[in-house]
Amino acid sequence: MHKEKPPLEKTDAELVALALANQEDFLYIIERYKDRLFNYIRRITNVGPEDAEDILQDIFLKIYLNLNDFDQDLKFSSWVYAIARNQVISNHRKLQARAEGHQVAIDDEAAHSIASDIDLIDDMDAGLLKENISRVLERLPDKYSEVLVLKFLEEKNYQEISDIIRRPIGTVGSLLNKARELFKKEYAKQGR
Amino acid sequence: MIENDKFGQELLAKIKEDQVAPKAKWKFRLKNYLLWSVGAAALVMAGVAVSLVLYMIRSNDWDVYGRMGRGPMEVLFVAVPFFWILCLGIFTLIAYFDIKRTKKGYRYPALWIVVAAAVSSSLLGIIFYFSGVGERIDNSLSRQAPFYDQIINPNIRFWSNPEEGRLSGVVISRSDDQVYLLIDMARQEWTVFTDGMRTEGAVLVEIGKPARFLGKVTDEHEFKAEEILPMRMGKGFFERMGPMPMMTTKLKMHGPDNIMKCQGRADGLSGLFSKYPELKEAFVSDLLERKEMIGKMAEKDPDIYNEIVNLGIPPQVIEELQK
Repeated sequence: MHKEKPPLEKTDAELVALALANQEDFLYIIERYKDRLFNYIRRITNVGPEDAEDILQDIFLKIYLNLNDFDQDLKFSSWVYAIARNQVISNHRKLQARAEGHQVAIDDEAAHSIASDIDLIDDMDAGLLKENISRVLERLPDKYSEVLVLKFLEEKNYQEISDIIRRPIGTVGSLLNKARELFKKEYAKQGR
Repeated sequence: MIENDKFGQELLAKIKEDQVAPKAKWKFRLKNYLLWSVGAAALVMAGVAVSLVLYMIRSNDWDVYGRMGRGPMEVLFVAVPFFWILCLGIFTLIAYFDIKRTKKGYRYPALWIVVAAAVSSSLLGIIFYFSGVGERIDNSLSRQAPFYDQIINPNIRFWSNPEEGRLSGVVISRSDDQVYLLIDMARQEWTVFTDGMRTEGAVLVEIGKPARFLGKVTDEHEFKAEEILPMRMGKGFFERMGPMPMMTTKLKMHGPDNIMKCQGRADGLSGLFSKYPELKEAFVSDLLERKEMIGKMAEKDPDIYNEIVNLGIPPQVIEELQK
């Protein structure tokens, strides 16, 4: 007898079908994505945790509202991140400098990944490396910092980044190259 | 990290309280369908614009401009169909922005979309051109569109300059074998002498139809024609001044004098017919050719036959029209 998979082992597409059939099952999608999206919001905005939660709520409401628009040709995570990005841009993204004391949250693995990709000297203390990288990311123009965040912190590939920011793959490549170049320059300035 | 369970439960409670429900799939399909329809329509319109650009460029008198000693800048402003090129640009842009807004449109670089739109509209335009779509649209617009001579086809005005040797208008009468009477764009009557005139191919001078002449003004309202050119683009514009369109551009006729006033004419049709019997003949011939159209107009307004009688048209013609 075929044993049904537990909800958390189901694919995203299966969870979408469940949520469309039963409102309560939307909870599984929330559980799967809430932490990732929360971190993403905090990485691309200057808002505190409470505001980030409010934005996250708006994002999930939008996801639920548009669930029938999900196209299975796309990865569900890319679709969800795209909605999150649009919601942040339309409601809460600020152009001014980040609030003092708030920095982009980076883990050790992400810091080393950025350092090796951009040929930074990373034999310094891990904490200092993360702090330096975070400060540089904050100083970059949004269109460059967001692709670096998606690539190294959210670990998205080129296709996924293309689907999230809704630009051609070639443009994603150009943005990342330019982002790397600017990052190196800013990082070097910081070192002086 | 978010506190487990609480966030999800609160969100679900809000969804229930606000009665939030997923939008129906048909709405997204409709939106997608509309986007693609607008894109396709824009491409078709761009194709139509291409067909008109091709038609106007092919119909132009490039060799004549050269013989007239016109400089390249003047030829550029007169001969290049800027209006349709602008339309082509606008519709291509609409297609581009529309495609970009589709679900997967963002995946294609801007240049690819613009090139694809340009190539598709060019191919469509070539098909439309060879199918005669460009010519038919130009004829229709030239007959009815306001500002046709000012914006869509300024070439018309170029050819309405008797002082510079270019005369065009509607031929309304022939006084003998070689002398014609023509009404130009400014509603001026011209006597055109065509003896010794060169013709380009088999160009006929027909009563009630537009014609173009190269030559020179010999006296007030007298023009010595050296060459007759075929009427190509914009011929419908001159047909506005011809007898048939005077009658049929309005579905309801109020009598010949009122038609003239409605259309800003100085003379009544019946007056013209008394003065120029050949024009009346051409009008009768036109009426009989458009018997079916007259019949449909008469279904909406049976008085139309009385109005035709008032123009001095013989009863046997009316009988023929009513069959």
